[in-house]
Amino acid sequence: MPRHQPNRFDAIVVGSGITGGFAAKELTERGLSTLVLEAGRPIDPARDYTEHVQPWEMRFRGYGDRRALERDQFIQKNCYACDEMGARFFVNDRENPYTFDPAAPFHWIRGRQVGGRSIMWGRQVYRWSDLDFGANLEDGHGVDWPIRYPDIAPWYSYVERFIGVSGLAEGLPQLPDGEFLPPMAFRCPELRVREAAERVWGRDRVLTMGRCAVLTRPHNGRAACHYCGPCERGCVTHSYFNSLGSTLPAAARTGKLTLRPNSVVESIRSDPRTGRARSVRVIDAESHRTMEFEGRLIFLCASALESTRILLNSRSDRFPDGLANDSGQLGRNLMDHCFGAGARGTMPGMLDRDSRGARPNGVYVPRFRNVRDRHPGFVRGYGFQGGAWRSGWGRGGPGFGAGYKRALIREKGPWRMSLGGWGEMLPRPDNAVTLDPVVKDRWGIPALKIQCTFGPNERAILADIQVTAAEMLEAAGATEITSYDDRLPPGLCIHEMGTARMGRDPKTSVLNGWNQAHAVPNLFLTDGACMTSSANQNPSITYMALTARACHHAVDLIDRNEL
Amino acid sequence: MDRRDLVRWLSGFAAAGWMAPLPGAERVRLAELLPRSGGAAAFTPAQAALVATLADVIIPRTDTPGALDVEVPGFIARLTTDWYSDEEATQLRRGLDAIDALARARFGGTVLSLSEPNRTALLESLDTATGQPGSAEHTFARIKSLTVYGYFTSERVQTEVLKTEIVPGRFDGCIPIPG
Repeated sequence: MPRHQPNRFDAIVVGSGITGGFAAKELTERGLSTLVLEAGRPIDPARDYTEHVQPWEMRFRGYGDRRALERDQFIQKNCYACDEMGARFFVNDRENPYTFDPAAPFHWIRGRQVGGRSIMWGRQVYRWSDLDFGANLEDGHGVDWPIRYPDIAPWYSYVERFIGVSGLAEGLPQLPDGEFLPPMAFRCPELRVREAAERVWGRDRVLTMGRCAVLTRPHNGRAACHYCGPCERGCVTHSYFNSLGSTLPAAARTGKLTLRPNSVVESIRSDPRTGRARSVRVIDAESHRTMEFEGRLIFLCASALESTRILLNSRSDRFPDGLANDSGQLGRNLMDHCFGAGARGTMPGMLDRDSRGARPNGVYVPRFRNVRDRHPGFVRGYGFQGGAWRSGWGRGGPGFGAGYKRALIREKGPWRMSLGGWGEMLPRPDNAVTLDPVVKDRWGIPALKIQCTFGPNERAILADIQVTAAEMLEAAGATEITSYDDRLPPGLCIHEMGTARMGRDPKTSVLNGWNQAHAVPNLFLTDGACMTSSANQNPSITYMALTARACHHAVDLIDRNEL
Repeated sequence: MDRRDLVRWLSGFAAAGWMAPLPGAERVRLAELLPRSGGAAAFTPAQAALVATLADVIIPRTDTPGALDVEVPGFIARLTTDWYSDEEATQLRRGLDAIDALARARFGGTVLSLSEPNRTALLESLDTATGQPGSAEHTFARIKSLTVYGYFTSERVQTEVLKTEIVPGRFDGCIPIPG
């Protein structure tokens, strides 16, 4: 490609988060000059990472600037990580509006900065299996995935080896093991529940250590975790994986990367003759100046709903309903995970023991419903995430004065343990996003109108979660067990996906089995929008594996002159 | 109140040899200082004196610092003016007045002026009851939780009393509690 044209690149990647960073790394390492467009500002870890800021250094001691949050981040503040220090990594809701029926809220949690939401993600990584990739075909919900586990397994390994994943191999078919660094340690009651579950349910219900993208030993030039706790505020030692500290630097080392922050993508222009994507229209976030960048290859990695919005807003005579939307499925089949239900209890005894250090990870119970048996009330399933802890001074309680104070300082509360379910959500065409006819964002781009509700299958899953979580705690001897369902709205699990799904048939899907748009061969989309079903595992590693796989396929096509 | 002010404020008291449990007059003096500690618009002098008194009773100075040593009243004032909604702040102020009114009705004086047994009896009755926002009971519970939170999140208590490790460097899941 001619290097003298500053607005022309071999590849353009929209988004610099968990998928955009990976696309940048793979494409540049394969020799493509690559422009990464990021809507948000640059991040400087020295200035913006605040994981070691202590409560007394915060104006509201960690409660957050409530008035600012209620004014500017009235949606974002629903995310636990959008707190006094973390709020800087979440968008301003007034500048970034979207609409929904107030009776059916959807919480859209967004981060616009270099690194995207990989800065404050939950870091849990779980492979899918063919129980997941075959589910749609098996029970008829959605369309069949165009890939199966063997297609993605080597890419899971590829990603795990790069990012570093700590975990415990269990040999379970529904949750394949990966390339693990040593697992983090269990707390005493977690081991007790693990043993009790094995005693009662054998290998059907396995409580294992969370598999997370946090290093338990030095890896690829990054330091092991120092267990300070709040990863979601950043990590100056890059001990958890994010694109800012790992994939983007790798891409930069090739000399092929151009990273342009403050670049709000408005639309993608296609060539009316060939139907191919030609250029990306960008509005500078600060100057509001419009510009255009040409790319031979375009990768959409802007997050599921942002990538979908860009495609919906890229209309032409050839694509009147949005770029690559011949199927009419663009914007449909929005999924999240249903969560916020589970059980908690007190674990008696072990009062002479405690843990030391802040483990940025919990325990995990892989799916056990509809694995070998068939549940009468719902299809698919859920996994548990949870953990045990002893409360310190925060437990409060009755009393005051010298004795009360001494007890809060010197004594600890009993062990408590909680298990919360993360449930699969079925793809339904009526859970859909469209462009709002009236509302626009700060840059004049039409806002999304989001329609999304949980259905009977999700409600049945949330009900079952409360029963099985409680019975697992009970089996381990827990007392004071209470089940809960916080009735959280969809979106808040921040696993939104599915609105430009992969499929075998161009009539019913937007992307093929390589994340390539059926109708636009040089357009690839590898963020959550590509997902054909949701499974119940945290999805980021699957997005990353699909991204790496798609990048290598795209460059192979170019090398073979097939693109 | 920013940290520089906090240090100046604390060292001012230390220089005055203020090491014994606070007599009532000192609490009044403390209340007068509150406006300088960021609580100017938060409370009337009587309310401010009550906040300081309650904080001192809930977490008194012992062999470790007390709530007043780590500027808990300033923290409560800051949350009242800059964090609570107008309605919540009004309820809190009304509730403080209700606590003093109760003290007067039952023992003939404000909480600050009560004998220790009378004060303890009054606050125990509030501590074991619940009430609506704006009531004496609800407000005592709120002041208590703010006092505990403000105390334990303070720099001195975190570093000198709890000895919290900011960078533990390792994680142990299940180890004996030392000594």
